[in-house]
Amino acid sequence: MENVFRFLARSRVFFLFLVIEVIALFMIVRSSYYQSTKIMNSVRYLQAMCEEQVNSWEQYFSLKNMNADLAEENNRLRKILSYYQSVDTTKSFTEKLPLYPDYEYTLATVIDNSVNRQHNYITLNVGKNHQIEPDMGVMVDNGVVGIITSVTGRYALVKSFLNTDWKVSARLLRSGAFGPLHWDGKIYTEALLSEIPQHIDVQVGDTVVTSGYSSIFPPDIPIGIVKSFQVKRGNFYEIKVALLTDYKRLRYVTVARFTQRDEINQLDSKTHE
Amino acid sequence: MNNSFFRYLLWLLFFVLLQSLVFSQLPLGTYVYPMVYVLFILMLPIGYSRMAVLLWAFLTGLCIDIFTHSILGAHTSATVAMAYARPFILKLVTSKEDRENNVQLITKRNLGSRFFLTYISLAILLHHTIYFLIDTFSFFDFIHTVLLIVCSALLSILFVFFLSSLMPTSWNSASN
Repeated sequence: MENVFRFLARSRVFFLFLVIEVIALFMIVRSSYYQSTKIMNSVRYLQAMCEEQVNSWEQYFSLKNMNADLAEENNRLRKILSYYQSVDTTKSFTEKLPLYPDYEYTLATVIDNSVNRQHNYITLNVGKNHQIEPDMGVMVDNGVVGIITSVTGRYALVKSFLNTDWKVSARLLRSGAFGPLHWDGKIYTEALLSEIPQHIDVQVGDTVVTSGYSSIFPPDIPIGIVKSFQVKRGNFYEIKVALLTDYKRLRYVTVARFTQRDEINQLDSKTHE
Repeated sequence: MNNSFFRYLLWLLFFVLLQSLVFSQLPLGTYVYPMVYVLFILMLPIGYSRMAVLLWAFLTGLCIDIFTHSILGAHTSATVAMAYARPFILKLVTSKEDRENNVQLITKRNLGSRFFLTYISLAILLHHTIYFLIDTFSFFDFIHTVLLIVCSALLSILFVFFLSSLMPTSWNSASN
């Protein structure tokens, strides 16, 4: 018995090491990102305030690009507007209603962002006070940005699309085939669209859009362009998609809230009973 | 003990801020993610209690995990493993007299550039390997992971090497 104690005493450093490692591993296993982000809310709040300050300084340096983007967007919107003005909506009313009335949008500014990790996160300057809730989609007009994972009063944490454990339901615009689009953690301008069966006609240059099936993002938001494709593992294509969004330059984003989510969820839970 | 404890706590704070506000924000692309906070553990005096080093490593890793939005425990386990391996690596690069002279922070100056470089390279390589294996959590695309480890480690070693030359030699002059 004494020997055992002596042994323990002699290798107490090793045991401490083991204990700490086990705690750390336990934390890794326990902390699905969702839970850990929830726990860290209060820390994030302080951090976000810091980042907002830093960001406000950084913004001065990118004003030029931002102006260009805004001008471009203005231009696009003006085109759409002119279309509506030219069409007599009292006559062709039913055809041209707002496209997705099921979604409400909130504008937000990115105050912290990263693209250089395997699990990237984004902080937005909107939160509970702006009716932002977890699981809402975040997008720009040429791509998906991510999904809200947790909110505080004034800030929201977004799991970026550039996060290797998240997938977006996407669709090939021309052929209509859909499958999960995910980032493989390599280059932040490319993502992979998988589970497209081989009989589908895929061509380089095809547009990839959101499918709208997940009720997180409205359908038909352009995400990327097919860059190359190959058959991988069985009958499916693995399609390399060049993303339209420059994640490094994200500034203004839109948070989409699906207004009928509760109803859809209810339906889902009924079928799974 | 108390005196050095609070000094180290300040150092810890300094490195956590440096990592989360500067080095984690560097726009360097997907393959390079420098982690310089390991210098805090690496520069603790040679004769410093090994238990204490482990506890500091745990605290450092935890803070970094929290402040850089990473998986809770990823930095922690990598840093703790590195801290545990620290004495073994030190044995390779120091003489017996060095190890007895224990009040000094380990820096480039008092270890010699070559030995210091070997020391931080081995430690950082170990740390980064563990970190990225946990972060990617798969052996699926192993070349990708290896690239991540090697590229990031090279940059971290470079940064840590230069950062270390800015550090004071002994903790008596450590707080300003």
